[in-house]
Amino acid sequence: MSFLDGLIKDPKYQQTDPRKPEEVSDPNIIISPDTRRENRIPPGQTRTKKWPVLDAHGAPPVDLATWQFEVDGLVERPLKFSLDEFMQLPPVKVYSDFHCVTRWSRLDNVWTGVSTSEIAKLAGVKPEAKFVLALAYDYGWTTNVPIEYFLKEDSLFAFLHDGAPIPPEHGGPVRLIIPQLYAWKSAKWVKGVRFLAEDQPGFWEEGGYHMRGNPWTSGDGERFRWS
Amino acid sequence: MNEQYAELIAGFPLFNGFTVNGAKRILDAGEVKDCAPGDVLLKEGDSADFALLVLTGTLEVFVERNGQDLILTEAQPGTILGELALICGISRSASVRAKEPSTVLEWSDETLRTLLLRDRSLAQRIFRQALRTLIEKEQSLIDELAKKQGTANH
Repeated sequence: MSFLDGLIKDPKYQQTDPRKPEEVSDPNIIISPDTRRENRIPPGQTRTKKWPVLDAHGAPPVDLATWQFEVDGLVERPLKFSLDEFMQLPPVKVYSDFHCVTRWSRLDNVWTGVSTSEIAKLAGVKPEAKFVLALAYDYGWTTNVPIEYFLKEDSLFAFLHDGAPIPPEHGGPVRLIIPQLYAWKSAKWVKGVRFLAEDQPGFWEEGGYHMRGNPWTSGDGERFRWS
Repeated sequence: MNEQYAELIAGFPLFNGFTVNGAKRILDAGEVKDCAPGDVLLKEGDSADFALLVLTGTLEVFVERNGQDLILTEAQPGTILGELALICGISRSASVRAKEPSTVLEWSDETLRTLLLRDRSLAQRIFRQALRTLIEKEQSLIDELAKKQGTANH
């Protein structure tokens, strides 16, 4: 493939090597700790320069005018945001890598959005909350995340990827990004989060996918609950 | 009834780790069919447009040669049948009939392809089972051949 082919067919194609975290010039950006690893590719993964699309049902129709983001479960103050209200929340930027359980990793991504801990703070998460269920617009799709990963400083609800709005096929207008777990936990088309005391399997987890999904542990990463 | 089948599916080794809800999605993707002893579900040489998961009962996998049925194996609950013909785009390599009253889940070609493409974990399991079955068959063929060769050498 020539240089131009890549640019024309896939504007998100990465022409260069990933930047090192220290080469990221933005002083306010949050650097995902996994980007500081000597080898940034977790076991069993391969780097892709593309931005592949994977989903369970295809992109759902999301009407930006009626888009809502809800926070409920074990919180002091259940919350509801319109897209406009959500965009008014203080933004953060995160530099992180992206690891898909189907064995590709896309390095060097800049996400802009609302910090998960900002949402947790606004809602007043109760101490008994230990897990988060992310809910999405695609036909009741959900995924479960341990609260300590949900609240990592590099976790966010993103609306920009590398400075541009996240296209529908990649989960826009807003998707969850949890860089320290496999990317199916980074719910596309997110429409809310529920704080829970007990873990509850989400869509893929009900089919045997891992309840936590840490790419860096146990030899080949926490992909499935079967082998 | 669907709830019971979903619990059954979640208990099959092939679906280890599935919750009952997860199994329901597998179930809803296909069609449950009851069959009586002797019903032929797949016929050798036919073009393939669906695969089966045995839910209850026992099925016989057989081929007809020289006017006689040659039973290749018996398929128990939890076994997938007919998936290789779909995946490889070939006609049925054997016939399948119910040995006793049985229930199967039938997935159309398109449904199976969608399941395999969307659920990488399930795809990995199904390929693993299919390849194991093939390897076992190959091994037994090799053993047969070796036996024959042994006899010939004596």
